[in-house]
Amino acid sequence: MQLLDYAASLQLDTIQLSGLGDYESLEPAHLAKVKDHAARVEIAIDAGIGCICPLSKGWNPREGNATDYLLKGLRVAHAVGAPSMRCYLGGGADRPNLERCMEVTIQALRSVRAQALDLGVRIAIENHSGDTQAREVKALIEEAGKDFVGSCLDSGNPMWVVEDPLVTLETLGPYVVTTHIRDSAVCEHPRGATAQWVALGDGSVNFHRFVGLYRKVCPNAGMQLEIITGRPPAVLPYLEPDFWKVFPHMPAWEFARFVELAKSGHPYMGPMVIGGPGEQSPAIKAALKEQERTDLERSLEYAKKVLGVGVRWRG
Amino acid sequence: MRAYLPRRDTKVQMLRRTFLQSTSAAALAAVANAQSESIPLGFDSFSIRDLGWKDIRLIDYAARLKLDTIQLSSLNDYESLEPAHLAKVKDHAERAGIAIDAGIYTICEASTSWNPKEGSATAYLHKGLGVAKAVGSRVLRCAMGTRADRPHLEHCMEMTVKALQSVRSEALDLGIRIAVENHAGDMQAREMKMLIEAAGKDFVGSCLDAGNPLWAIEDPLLTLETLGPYVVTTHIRDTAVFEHPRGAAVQWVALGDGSVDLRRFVELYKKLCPNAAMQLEIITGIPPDVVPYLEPRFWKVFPHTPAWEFARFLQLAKSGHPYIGPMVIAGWGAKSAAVETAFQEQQKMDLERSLEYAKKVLSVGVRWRS
Repeated sequence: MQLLDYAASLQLDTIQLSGLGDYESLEPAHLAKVKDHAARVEIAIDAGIGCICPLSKGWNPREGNATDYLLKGLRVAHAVGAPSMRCYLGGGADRPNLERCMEVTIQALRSVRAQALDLGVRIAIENHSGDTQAREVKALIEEAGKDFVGSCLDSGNPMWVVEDPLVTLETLGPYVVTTHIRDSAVCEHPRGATAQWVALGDGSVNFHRFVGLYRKVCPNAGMQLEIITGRPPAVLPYLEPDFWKVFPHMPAWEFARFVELAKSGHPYMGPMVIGGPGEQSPAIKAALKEQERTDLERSLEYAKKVLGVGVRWRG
Repeated sequence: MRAYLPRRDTKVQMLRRTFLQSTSAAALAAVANAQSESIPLGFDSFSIRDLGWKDIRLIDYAARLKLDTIQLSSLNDYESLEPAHLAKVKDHAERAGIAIDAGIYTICEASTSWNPKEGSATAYLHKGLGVAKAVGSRVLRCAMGTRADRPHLEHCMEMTVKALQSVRSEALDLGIRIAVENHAGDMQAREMKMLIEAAGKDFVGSCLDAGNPLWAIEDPLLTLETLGPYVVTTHIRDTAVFEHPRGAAVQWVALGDGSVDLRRFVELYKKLCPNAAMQLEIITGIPPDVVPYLEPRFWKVFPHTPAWEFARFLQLAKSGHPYIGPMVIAGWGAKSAAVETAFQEQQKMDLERSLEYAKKVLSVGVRWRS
């Protein structure tokens, strides 16, 4: 409810409640209240769950099995009136075992096909945390069934798989159901490149072009900003042969697009609270918390005023 | 003031090798015995400026960290400038076994950073010398200005030399050496050397800053090579330097986090100025600064920089990369309460880990060994 009210106060159109932890309770009565409240404040909900591949390092065994977890998510999505449910395969650590993970994920998705179609909820697979490149997500969606599976297009995660987010959008555009949009500062590094997530407009991605293409290929999908700042740049050591072991099938032309992005970019040069690894001190935690909100709000302003995205704020 | 700026064929442009041969011989001989000894280690109070600590507390903190020295680089570092209080500071420092390097700020009335409330440069220097003497310091750090002064550098250097010469006899009588800092991109080492020599090296020396040269497209090792024989006190920090579409970018970081070869730096330091306190001035939390040397107008304020010197900087930038670790980056200006608290915590943490690096990796400092 608090998230819905916050979205409404910012004159947004939609919100993605991307995890089941976002609800006070999963009891049907509470979810019905959430649905009603969202309708009252005129915020459309995109629902979401986490990792659906039991082979992945990101899988939570407490969920029992992937089918049960997907069904739980679909029921919640339906209960709050969401037409989509975001989920993902895993993370970068799963790439050595990617084929097997994709097979298991496809199986899991197919196991709930009938329920998803009955409930009218499209399952949106995210290109998540370096698990898959756009080409691979497209293959996964088509294999599982594009009548009930689509894409939750994330524009920040392509960095971890040396992919230009514009390539991601060009490839997945026709499948996009919901999104995670953020900017990244990309630049060359002696080992290859570095990438750092930043607020919208602070990075290297050409968002004017991105939004122009978005309007053509998926204009009805909610542009959900997922702003993640406060993390240091990560090195993408593509000049080292070992890096390529987990990208054996990536075409050179796709990689060249990323190289172009890195060559024309530079590190983020603005202020940012960047936390260290592990538990943060209370002072850093408090500063990071404040920054999350500031960076989300200035990114939303950029989306509205510079990129011309959004409906309700126009009044 | 043309004499202070290099002409095409002056000796200032001598090759580094020749320079080292001619200038380091005396310094090397003078300190040959000291090579086996350690460089005194301390910090500049500016490193933890946001904590607002004053003299006694700063000295106690330095003693707790088993340091040898501290630079109280500003008159604001004292609770009071009353003689009785300064005498207490002196006694306290002696009891705590901490040597004080004193300091003031801009002494150039033509600088954009000059504080007119100080009256005149002579009066300000006189005040600083008095404080330095009162707290038992043999050094008074000061600065000419900032990079904003480079467009009228000759005039600023003239004014600074005049101001320094106006207190020559007083400084000599008090036994205090005035250490001019290469500050915030105001001067390159070659220019600083000329200023010191023009003012009088019997009472003026260098407060060598290892971070500021980056704002003046200078490799800090070159700064040390040039100013080493004149160094009286220091501001030591590391810098991440890397190429940028407009030239290069530089960001000050904790010791060991940057691109400067500090092992080579310390090795040379031991040869050229082993008795000068290595005062760490750690400044983190400032975003990278672009040095747009690919843009012709950048060079307007560096008309006399020899290409070989710039090539040293270029080599540093080409081999470096951005700092990619955690850091609260909030800049110089006002901050929210939450960020300010995090910033204060960071200042202390980054100073302490830099001191650890200086002790354990670079083997600098005396007292911590016992």
